[in-house]
Amino acid sequence: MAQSPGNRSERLASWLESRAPLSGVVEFLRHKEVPWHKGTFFYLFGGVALLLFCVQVMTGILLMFYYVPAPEGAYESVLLISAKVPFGWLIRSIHSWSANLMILALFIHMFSVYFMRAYRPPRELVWVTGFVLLVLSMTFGFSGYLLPWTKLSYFATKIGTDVTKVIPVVGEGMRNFLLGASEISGPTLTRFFALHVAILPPIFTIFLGLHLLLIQLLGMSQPLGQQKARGIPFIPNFVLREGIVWVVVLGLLAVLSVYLPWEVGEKADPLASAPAGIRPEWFFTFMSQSLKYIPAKVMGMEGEALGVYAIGAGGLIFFLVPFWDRWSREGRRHWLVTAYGVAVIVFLATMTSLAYFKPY
Amino acid sequence: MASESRFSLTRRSVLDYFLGGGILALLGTMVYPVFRFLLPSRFAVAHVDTVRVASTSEIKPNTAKLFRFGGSIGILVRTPGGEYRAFSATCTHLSCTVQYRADLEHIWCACHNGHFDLFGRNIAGPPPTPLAAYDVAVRGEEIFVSARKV
Amino acid sequence: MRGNSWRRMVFSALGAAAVFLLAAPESRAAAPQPDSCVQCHRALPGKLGAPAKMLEADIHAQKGFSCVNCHGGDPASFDVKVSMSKEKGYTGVPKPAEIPALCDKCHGDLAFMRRFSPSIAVDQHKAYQTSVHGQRLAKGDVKVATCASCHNAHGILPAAHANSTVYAPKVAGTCSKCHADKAYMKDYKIPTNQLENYLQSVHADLLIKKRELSAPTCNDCHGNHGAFPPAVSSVSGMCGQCHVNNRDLFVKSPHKPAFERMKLPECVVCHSNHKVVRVSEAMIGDKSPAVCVSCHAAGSPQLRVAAGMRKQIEDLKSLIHRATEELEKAERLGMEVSEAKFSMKEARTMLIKVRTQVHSFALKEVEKEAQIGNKVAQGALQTALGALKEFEARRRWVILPIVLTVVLALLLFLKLREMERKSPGGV
Repeated sequence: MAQSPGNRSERLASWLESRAPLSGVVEFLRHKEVPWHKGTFFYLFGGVALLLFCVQVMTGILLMFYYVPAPEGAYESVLLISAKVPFGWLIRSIHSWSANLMILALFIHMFSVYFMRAYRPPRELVWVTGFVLLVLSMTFGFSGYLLPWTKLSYFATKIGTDVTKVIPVVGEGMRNFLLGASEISGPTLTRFFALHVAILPPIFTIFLGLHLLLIQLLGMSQPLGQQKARGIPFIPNFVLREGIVWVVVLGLLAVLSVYLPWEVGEKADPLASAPAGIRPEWFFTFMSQSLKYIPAKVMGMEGEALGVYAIGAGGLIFFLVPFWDRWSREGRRHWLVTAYGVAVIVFLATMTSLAYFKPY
Repeated sequence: MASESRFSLTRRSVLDYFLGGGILALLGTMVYPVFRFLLPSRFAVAHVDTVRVASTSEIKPNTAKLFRFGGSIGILVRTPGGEYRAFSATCTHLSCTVQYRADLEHIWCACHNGHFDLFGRNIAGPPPTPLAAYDVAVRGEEIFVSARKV
Repeated sequence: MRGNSWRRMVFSALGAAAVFLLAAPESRAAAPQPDSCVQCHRALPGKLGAPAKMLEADIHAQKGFSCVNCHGGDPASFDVKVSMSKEKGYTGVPKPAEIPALCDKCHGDLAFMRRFSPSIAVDQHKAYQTSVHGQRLAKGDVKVATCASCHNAHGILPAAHANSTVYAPKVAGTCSKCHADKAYMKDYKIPTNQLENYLQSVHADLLIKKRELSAPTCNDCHGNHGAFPPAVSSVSGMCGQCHVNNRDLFVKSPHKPAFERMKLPECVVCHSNHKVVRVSEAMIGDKSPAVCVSCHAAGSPQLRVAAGMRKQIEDLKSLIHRATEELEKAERLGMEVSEAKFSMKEARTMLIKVRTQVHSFALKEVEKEAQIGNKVAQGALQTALGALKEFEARRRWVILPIVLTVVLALLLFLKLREMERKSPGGV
């Protein structure tokens, strides 16, 4: 960025350029534009999710300094972090809040892309990688939930992993592989820990890299039906807008973490009976709640299995939208696509709010 | 104030200084907690399963030592015969802390004169049940006490 | 565990061991097989058949004894005229007055009883003779309890057996068979409400409801075989079997000589005898329901001491309560107060000691103990309040980054506006 005249800086620039030939990248960024229209605001949510992911990585690394991944020490170490380590309560609280906000940001990001039909060719793979990132994020949430080894997380995980049982033939084996034992116990904790801090992060990073790279190569999607909308420069106009949102999100994170600190709860006791009000993390409640409404037997099939398959099928249709939405390729909005998206949102919102306001 | 090139800030305005300062301050508020978080401080790591209670030279036969065991108190007894035994020091009557009586050669609770033998069994006075026993392990010079595995 | 329950245990547990090693001597020898008494009587209905059927579970039968050992006769003969003949020593149903001596034939003979249990007590008959029951029996009162009244005549079980009539939780019921029977007790002019009172006591709650076998029942204060009402001046000795510290403090207190002069039954004066209810601070003080006011006049210096002791307890109790509450509040907010919570154990111990110390009836002693507790609880309370303050401070400090983010967002917005003065997007 140094533009001041002078031999010295020019020499430095050329020295750098010959060793790190990035002038192309700089040039690219200089000319990168973001379409300017009514929905530009929604483009910011991908960036928010990115910011929150960075917060997760940083706070996650910090927590690893004190966390002990063993049934005898996990709960105690989380207590230690939130009670004794200076600012430990804050860092743990931020990690929890940021995780939840990240999922929320991802959902907003995904639905805005869906309704803008931004997944249409040639951006199918951007959609696919993005969807994978959402699934990975939810897996992050699921595995991280167990780590404090509290009563609530123990039983929520028990219920969550029991869902795999509905898969014919391999379901039981899959569950045991996931748990490392036939019941949630020490091996489960270490497995979930490995998943959470060693397996998921590199996979997530690869997909995130792909996702970002593809967007750079393909450019941001134009609104449907417009060949070439007006654009604003990515730097600095869009970046400044993103900056404002980031700062606001950071402020929100601070407020939430301090005024609504995440409770530690009671230590898990495998012998105790499940406490009332067991619920998974909010982004899984739609699943557990809808399974409650399905009768035990539906036309000779296990109700739960049926529910899981139905939800899975619904998710798959959603995931495959770039491949069956032929209309958007021709620049048309079809009511069916919109209706399906709205149906998914209504379903998720109804089930999630039912889980909170009318759990029984 | 707009510069000729969209992507160069040649002339620094007051606003830019404020912006830079603000960003630095925000970074500062992030770095400080992280720094404090990582700085080793004087807190004990929560080990509730096993605690080091004493060294072997510290406890003579026919004496005992009270120690903290998680959220409760334990008593490490060295019997007149030289054996180490450890129990919960919470009296089973009304939860007072018991003590060792070298003259009686057993454990005694001062609150209501409860007596426990060297196996923690209630032998006299109001305590209704024995003291919970812990496991004792001597490693070198160190005596460790751990919760008895059920 | 106290002497009596020990004895109960030893009596039954050790007794089981020795019998198979030695044969019983002549008249007390084990019954022959087959046993005609059992074989015939088992087939008989009602009263005549019941004893034979009850024999199986009887501790004596288990040790090899049978009908013949108490009733005489010849169990080898199946001819009623022979087996139940005087010539063969048949004595029939013993009269109540004969029972103690009959049982004592074996139970008073250490050389014999040793075979079953080396340290078994053999003084039951002697003890019985000193008891009110025994003394009245000697004077010809056959309504009194003898061995069989409490232990049953047949189907006698060891005291530790839960079905035994002398199993600790059942003793009160056994004694009350007579002592709660108003008609039966009419001639003796003693109360019959002991069971009713006892059942309301903390002792009965422990022993009968909670099956806490070390809690006392009738015989722990009155004796069993030597049953006798304790002398007025020996009450503290009874209670002191378990409540040692209370006794020790009481006997050194001014109440001891005063009660002795007035012939008042020590502990019972305040705590009652059979109806020993769970104590509370309300018992002490200068106003009803405090028991002190039943003797001491209003405004007397003694009542001032009582009120002072009450205040010490109440103060420490409320301080402990407050400290515990604040500590829990701090803990819920994620503050580290485990050290202070830990120290509260000592404060609670001191509260119990203070309540015991009341039996010295010396305000100074009570204050001394209370002060230690106060200091500990006060320390914990301060820790809790400090932690709560720090929690508030956290909330205040976070204002800084929040304000910063707001300001920064504003600055960024200004910057953006400045840049895009001409048109949104700056193109």
